[in-house]
Amino acid sequence: MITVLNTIDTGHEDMIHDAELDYYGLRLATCSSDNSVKIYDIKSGTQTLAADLKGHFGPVWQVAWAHPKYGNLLASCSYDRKVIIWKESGEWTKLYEYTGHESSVNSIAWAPAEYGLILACCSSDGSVSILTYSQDGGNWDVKKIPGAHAIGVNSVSWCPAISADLNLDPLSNKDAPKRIVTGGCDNLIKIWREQGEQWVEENRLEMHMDWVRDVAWAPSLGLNRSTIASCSQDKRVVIWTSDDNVSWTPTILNTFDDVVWSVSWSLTGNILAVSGGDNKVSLWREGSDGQWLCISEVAKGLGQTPNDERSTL
Amino acid sequence: MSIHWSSEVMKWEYRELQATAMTVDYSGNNVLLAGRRWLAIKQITQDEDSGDIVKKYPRHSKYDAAGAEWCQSYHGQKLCAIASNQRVDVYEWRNGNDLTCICSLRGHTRVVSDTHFHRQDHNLIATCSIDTFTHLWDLRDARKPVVSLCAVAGASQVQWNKVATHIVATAHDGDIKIWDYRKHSAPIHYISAHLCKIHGVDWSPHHEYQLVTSSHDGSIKYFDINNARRPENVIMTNFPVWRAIYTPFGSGLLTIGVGWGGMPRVEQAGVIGIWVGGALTHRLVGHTDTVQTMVWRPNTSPSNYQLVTWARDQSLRVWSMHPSLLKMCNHYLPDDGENDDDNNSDNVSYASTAGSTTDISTGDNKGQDIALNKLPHKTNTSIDEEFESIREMANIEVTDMNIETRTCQIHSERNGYVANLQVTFPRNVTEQTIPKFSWLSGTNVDSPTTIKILQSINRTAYRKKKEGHRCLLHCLKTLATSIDEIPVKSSDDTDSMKSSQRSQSESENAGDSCIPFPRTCGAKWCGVSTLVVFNRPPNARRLSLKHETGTPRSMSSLSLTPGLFGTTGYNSVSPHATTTPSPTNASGFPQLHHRHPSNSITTFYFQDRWKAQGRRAGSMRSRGSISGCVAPRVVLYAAPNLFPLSRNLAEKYIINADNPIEMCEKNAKVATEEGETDLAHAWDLAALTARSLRARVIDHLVSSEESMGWVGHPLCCNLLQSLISHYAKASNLQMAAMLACAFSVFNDTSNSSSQSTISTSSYGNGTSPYSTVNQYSEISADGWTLPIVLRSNSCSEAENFYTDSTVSKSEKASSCVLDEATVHLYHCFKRVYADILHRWQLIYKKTEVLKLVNGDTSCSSGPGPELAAECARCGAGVRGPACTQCARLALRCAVCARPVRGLAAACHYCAHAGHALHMLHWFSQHDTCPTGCGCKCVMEGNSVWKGVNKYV
Repeated sequence: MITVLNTIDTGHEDMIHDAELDYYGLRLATCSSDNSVKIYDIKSGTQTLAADLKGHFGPVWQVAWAHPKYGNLLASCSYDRKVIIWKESGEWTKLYEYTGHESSVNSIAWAPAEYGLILACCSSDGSVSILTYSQDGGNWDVKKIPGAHAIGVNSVSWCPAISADLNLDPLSNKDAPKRIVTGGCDNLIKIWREQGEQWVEENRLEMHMDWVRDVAWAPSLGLNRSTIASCSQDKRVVIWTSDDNVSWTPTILNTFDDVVWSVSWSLTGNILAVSGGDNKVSLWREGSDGQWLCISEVAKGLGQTPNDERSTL
Repeated sequence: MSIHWSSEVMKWEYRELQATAMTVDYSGNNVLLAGRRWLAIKQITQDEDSGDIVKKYPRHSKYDAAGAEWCQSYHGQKLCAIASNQRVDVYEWRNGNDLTCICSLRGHTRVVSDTHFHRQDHNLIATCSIDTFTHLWDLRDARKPVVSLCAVAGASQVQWNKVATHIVATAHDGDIKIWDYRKHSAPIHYISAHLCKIHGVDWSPHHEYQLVTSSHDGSIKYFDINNARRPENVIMTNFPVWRAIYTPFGSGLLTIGVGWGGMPRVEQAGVIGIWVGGALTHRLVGHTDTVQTMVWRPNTSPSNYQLVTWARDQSLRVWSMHPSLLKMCNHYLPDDGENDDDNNSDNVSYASTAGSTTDISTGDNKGQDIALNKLPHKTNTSIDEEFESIREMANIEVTDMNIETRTCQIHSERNGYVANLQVTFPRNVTEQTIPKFSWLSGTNVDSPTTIKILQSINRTAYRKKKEGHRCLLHCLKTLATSIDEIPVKSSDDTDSMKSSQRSQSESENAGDSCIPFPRTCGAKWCGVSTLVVFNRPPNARRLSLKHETGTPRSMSSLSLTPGLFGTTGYNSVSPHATTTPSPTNASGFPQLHHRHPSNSITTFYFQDRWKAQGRRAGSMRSRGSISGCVAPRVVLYAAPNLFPLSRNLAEKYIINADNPIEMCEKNAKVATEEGETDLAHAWDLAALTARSLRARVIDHLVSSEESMGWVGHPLCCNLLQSLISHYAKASNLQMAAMLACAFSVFNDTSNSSSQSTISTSSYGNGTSPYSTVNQYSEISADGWTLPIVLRSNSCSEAENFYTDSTVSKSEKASSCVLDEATVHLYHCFKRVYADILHRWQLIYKKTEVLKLVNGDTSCSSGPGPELAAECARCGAGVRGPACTQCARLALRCAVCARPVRGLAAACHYCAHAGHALHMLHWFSQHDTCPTGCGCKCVMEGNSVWKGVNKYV
């Protein structure tokens, strides 16, 4: 059912913390504790290092590709409190460096392309920054949500711009507000709505007993409802559903053996990939009865055959 | 200096009673005064008019009452014990007027110095005497004690623990003995507390393991019974301290001195000192002679603590505690004026726990109104529900749960901090009573922090109770959050809790305690069906940490791995020293970054390797070898079968909304070739419906015999709709979107009739050749452009798209078969499918699909009005190309006078229209209207004609 397409030896000198393919699936960006971001060109079975971006002075936590209509843009965030937006124009250069956070920047997310070039960043200083590129001035406008979560914000995700609900879709309703969801060290998940110049807290979802590590807003057209997945240090993954983006109903997807670090929705929003501290990746799909089923689990040392393992010394 | 304070609210003098002991009953309303000749019960109420009600009972005894005590448990609230000489008399106060001695406890051979009822079991009373014994009596059989605790020195005080029910402390000269009465042969703890006699012992109301002693040597000492070799804290005064008792709120302490700071005894002896944080902050002044007894009045509201005192000056006084004092002791008041808390929720640390709390105790009108409004929603939460609610809590272990005693005990370990909390629910639960939280042994959080945590827990409890919710779950969450906020200490100095003793490196990493532990494994869906996975190589093994079983939470755990860097010579370089940026050296990074940074995450999983390296080489390994052992790699997985989306199909499918029959048939063929028989079947069905759609038009032209119509027929429109929704539910957006594309009828909304029909306009439908409104709302970046929302309808990017299909279109114009929401939904499918096509780099296909997306905004908010022709034959207004009445093409070209089929253009001003090519050609040579109406179309409709070249 699942086949290995490509195995990339990243050549990073330390653990990898994130990897993402670009919009077309032709380029892979990785980031690592060795402070670097690397970009590979992927072609059927082979890869070539396209760029090795050095600009962070701490472990780089996450990378994110922007929609290609804005050009080849890659954002990265790091322990060194910085967010860097890289741009390829012949060579990869820094387009913008954001230093407005006072602690490690843990997560970044580009807004749906329909909204323009907007990046949300969240940090351990407890705040969330929304960076908006203004086409005219060519500069980045910063809006900040201070104290979004006590202790720190661990993850941010945008509400999709395409919504089956007429009132929520920016295409049919010009006033449809942008929304983001954040998860933090106060064990809460909060939903924020843009209201004029401000971002206001619209909802707080209480369920997790420990730090929320990742949140992901699903594209879920087929079922006419909004869905958010969240995972936490408490080893649980919770699926939140809502018909109106106001009242949310939690369902516990599963309780895992170890802490859960990330959740990721497929493009069509029907399959959730879950990974965590136990080094395992599992895929989940909602059955017709509303129950979540694990359809595949990839065990440790994924994709590595015994003779693939290197001698290390 | 301390503030003199005279905050007594009531005062009575009873010289005739000659009482030497005083006690207050469970309800807090009755005071028992015991003297040699009289026992008197006085009601203290706030009501001034009730007069001075004292009930006196004669007691003829040779001896003074050495102590009086009223049982403080609910069931035993009628019982009181009076110690005099060698015996203790237990009285029962029946019906509020009859004080009867029910038994006498005779067992001590010397004077009884103290008595103490058990805090829960009213049948159990402890008495101690200078005869060295401490006896525990069961009142149901008072002939001899059930347990005798034996010591060498005479006992002066006996006190039951306020949290744990089985622990009792006794004072013997300068020593304290802690007993578990179930194991009475020897004390469980022995504390050499003072050099002189201990006058008073008091257990902390919040901590199971803390008590305070006051001694004749002038010192007051705080002890942790589990670590009693040295006191936690010492307050030195220069007078003997008769009593030192905890304040029930916060962290304060009340003392009675015997003689006060060298001042004349008579003047100063009556002063009660209030200590907060080791400093004398207030003095309660009023008594003119030594205070003999002070007790907190039970069952007062949390914001109105009262102290009842009896002194040798024969006066009974009730004192209230000023709110400023409560605040000083870190006491949380429910009416703390946090009403505006909702507004400033960026009040960082408590933002999550503090809610709006309007006053509950002082009867603030607003608060009560709110409470009343909420009443119908309130569910009376029972203790079972409270307990049930926490059963599933992770990270918190319920070690004991007893519905009988309404207590539960919680164990939580986080960041190396252990918190053991006992929660006791009061028996007479009213809506606003919150449970009592107290710390149990084993907790290794320092006292000031425990007090702070208690306050925030109380705050949460009040808030939740006020909202009428269960509070326990939320309180425990608050507990967890609060512990997280304590700076992490390293695991090896758990013994000492003084922050000053923490190591340097640890304080450096204190900030890391709130940075999540690095992810070393992850999976992300990218593109259409690719899963990007990275994780640790299989040879990575995690270190087992002392205090954590799962993967740690925060980065600070990395610095806690013991002895990691000792073997490799890295101990001089803290792993984070190289990476932690500080504002001062932020620009000075380059000199640091050549070093291998943050080996901590690697070493966390590769400790063996590091040790081995250290042993083997004894020198720093090169960076290459580090990467060798980590071998970080990313694996891309293709999971096409998980998604019902096929790039091959997408490539081969044709999109031709103008000829749905052809489109469906061809696509059915494509699907068959690709082996997707079920899809082929669906396409065949769609082709059939398309055929019936076409058929109806033709029928109509002749004479319609269809009674149901295409829309109403179950196998036509309805079939198609259910097909689309079926595929959408199955996440097959490809099929759903393609079916929606095939039938342009679905592009129209039924409410289009509400649009203003101006005689000349552009028809905003995506497939209509009339469409003349172009919304080039696109963003151009890096040389290529992409429309955001709307496509120009006659887009040049897609060739051979425009075929003349007037017939089907004329039909479409009249069949508004779907409501707005469904049309929108179908557009959403197309937009998502277009995005998928884009990711597959099928740009033309994508454009073709997007062309069929009719942003509703183009009609409602587009700049141009709508085009409607007037039928040349019947004169009826026609919005489509063909007249519905006479089934003829409605529009005639202004230039060639023939019916227009295909692209038309109209003058905005005079509304004359014609074949687009004819019109363009005309206006390339003329500037007036071809009809001769005299309109200078080129000038008047300037903008329109200028835009002409855009859409041709």
